[in-house]
Amino acid sequence: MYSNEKRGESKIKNKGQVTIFIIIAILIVGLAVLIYFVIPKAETTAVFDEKNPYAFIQACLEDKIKDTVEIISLQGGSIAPEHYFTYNNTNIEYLCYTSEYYITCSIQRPFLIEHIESEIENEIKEDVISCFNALEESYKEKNYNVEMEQLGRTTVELLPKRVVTSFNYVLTVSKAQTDRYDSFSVILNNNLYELVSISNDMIDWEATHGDFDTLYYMTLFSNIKIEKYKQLDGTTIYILINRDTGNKFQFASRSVAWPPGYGEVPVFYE
Amino acid sequence: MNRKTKKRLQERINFKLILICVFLLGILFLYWGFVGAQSDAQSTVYYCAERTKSGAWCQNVPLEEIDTNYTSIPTSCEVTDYCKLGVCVNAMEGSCRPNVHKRVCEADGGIWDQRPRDDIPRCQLGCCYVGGSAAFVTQTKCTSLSALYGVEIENFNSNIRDPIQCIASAFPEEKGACVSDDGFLRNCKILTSSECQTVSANSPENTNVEFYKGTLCTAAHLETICGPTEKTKIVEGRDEVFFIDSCGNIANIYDTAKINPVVHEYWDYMIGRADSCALEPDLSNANVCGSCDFFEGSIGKKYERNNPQMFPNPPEYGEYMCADLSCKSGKFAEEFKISFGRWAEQGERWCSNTATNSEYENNPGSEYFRLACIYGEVLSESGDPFRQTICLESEIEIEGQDEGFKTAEFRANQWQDCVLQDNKEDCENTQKRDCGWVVGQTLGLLHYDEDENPLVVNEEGELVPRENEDDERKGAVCVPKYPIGLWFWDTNKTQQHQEQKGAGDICMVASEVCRVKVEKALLGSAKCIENCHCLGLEAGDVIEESTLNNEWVSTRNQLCVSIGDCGVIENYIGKQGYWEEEDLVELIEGKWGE
Repeated sequence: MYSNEKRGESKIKNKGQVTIFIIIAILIVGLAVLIYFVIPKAETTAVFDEKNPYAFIQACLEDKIKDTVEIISLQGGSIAPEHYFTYNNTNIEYLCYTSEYYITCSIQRPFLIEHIESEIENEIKEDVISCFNALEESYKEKNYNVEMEQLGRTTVELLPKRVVTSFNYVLTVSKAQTDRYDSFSVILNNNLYELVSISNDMIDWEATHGDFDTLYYMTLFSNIKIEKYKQLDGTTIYILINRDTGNKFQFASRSVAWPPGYGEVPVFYE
Repeated sequence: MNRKTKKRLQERINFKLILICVFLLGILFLYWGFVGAQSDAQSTVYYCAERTKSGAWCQNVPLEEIDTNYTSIPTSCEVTDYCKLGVCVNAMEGSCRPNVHKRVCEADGGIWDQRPRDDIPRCQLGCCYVGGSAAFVTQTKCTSLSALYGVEIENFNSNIRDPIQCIASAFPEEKGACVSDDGFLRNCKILTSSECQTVSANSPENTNVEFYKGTLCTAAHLETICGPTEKTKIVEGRDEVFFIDSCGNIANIYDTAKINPVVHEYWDYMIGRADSCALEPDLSNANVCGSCDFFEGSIGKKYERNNPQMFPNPPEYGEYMCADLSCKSGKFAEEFKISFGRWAEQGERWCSNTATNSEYENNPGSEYFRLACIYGEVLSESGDPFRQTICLESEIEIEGQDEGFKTAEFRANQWQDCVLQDNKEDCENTQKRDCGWVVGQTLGLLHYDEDENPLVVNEEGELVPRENEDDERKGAVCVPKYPIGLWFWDTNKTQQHQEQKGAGDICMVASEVCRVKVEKALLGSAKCIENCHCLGLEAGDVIEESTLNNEWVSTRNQLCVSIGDCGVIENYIGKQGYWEEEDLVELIEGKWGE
């Protein structure tokens, strides 16, 4: 009898435990779902401070610019490379190319810095609009009168040690007083300018002489690491890394390629 | 010899009197090998495509690769107007890029110029002085650099025409203590004289700013708020480790003998590396002295506890110390140590090969590459694929050391005309080619003269016709010293690829016909009469005992593999291929004299 009672008690206790476990499990799952949906938003949503709209724009666009710069850096300076070599599942733009054997390449992107600047500008265009709209909305929610004017296009400048994105917006907000904000910009610390400048030197060398001596360059410049990978078709993949910051830029080149065997001599009919 | 081949051989020789052994790799004449490929290539007409289907600008390509939305002419791009090569000038930036097609330059907003870069006035380079350093650039570029660094007046010297002279001519403005006294505190910053003047100009009226050239902010007589610390720092563009003062300014080179107790003279004036502590070549005192020198194999870096190769001991003070840049870890560094009895130094380069064994260095799949010790890490750089470039090693003698400083360079593998050489001297002329003279072997065209007399080597090392049947002199052949790689493995490529890879064309050079005369009696077995060695027999031997797994086949195969990736051989990791030697031989029956 005693044992039966005990067993009955035990059953009830077990049932209770199971219920508790189920509740805990539901709570954990709920928490996980909450974290999944809420935390990323919390991370990406810029915090609005009505006295500092610059910080809002910096927070709103910084990650996008950072990601864009990173993608462009890994793809030879283009968001969507048109003429590329696929290396480690990444399409890397040819910056110097010849389809022939034995001859030096011709430069495919003479103004690489300007090209990169325009690529970044195009890629962030929509995000810039949505961030400024969000800023405007945030002021309106706090009962401000808002006037926002876009005077010109966004400009991206690759500068030594940084990428500066300037937005030609003028924001005038008024409530008790009127404030005017017109120096919106996002500064990203990055060595892309230096890496692209070195790449341009390397491309000039490849276009004039052929193969670039990376080891010599690295011996002279201690903070730059250049990896060079030759491919079977004569393409060379160059990866430039700043040892101090870890910033990377990679591009493809095909210059003075050697064929297997004798290769083919082009013939033209005029 | 495998059963299948043996059975096939026996079946044939039971009924036929004559056997001909032909190497499958090709037909006889060398001429076909070299000229045939070119005549095939001539069937492909090339066009100058303004743009190719793959997106490349201005390329000489076959018709099928042209993007038809753009211009194309069946001629070389060099003679077209739209794809001429020249210099592309960026008028805004001041950069001049060589080897740019007119179309590409203009599309990017540049000004295209056909003249050589040195003849274009706006591409003339000179020395530009910005921020205490110099750059060898155009004047326009100098203007833009000055703007980047916030320098209002550019300093450009067009008389300096050499980059080394330019860099040497840059004398950074000497720095010193810039002391600002507002009546309460004497703040101090290490600045240049002009920077200090700017500080002075921007300071309130009641602040007195003075500049003390070559003096540190910690100098006792300046009586500033900055004092010596045990903290250290590294500076961009400098190799050494420096002390910093309590205001965060750079002081002199890290030297523990000067900090505890403080040696005041050391904290008063700026001292150069020559007058600072001396770092031992083995960096044994790197924990106490920060006189690192990149070209001597050390550089100031943050101490890493888990990197004993670079930092054998922790620094006595601060977080930075001279890191050892010689290469002491990893497979290649270990191999270097085993080969030369010491670790590789910073900047040293040496050759290597992907082959797992030196025997396989020129076998299929192997490639030459060079290794370099850079920044404590062995970096590798492969040569051109298919062994079209080889790596050559040399060394610079160092006094007191058995092994000199290693250097290595890539050079083109000059294999192309080896097989055309008919004498030892030309064959082994290392100025012109990388070949080896092999006596006792013959190759296609060079086997016989015009009258089909076999060629043999005379005392001068030249191939001459054999004088008579008793002449026992042997033939010879000139073969590549570094057999080249060939694209032999992919049979599904297009015809164009087949032409480009040319494995068959090159391998066929080593093909050979051996006519074996066999006599079959009315009753009994067939006997071998002539050239029986090709079947592994002596004259008079019964044919049934013949084998294709014989010395002649082996020797011919050796010749095949010395040409390039031909014949039967292990690959670069020692793995045997699919075929066996007897698979290289084809038996063709016929009547004697046909």
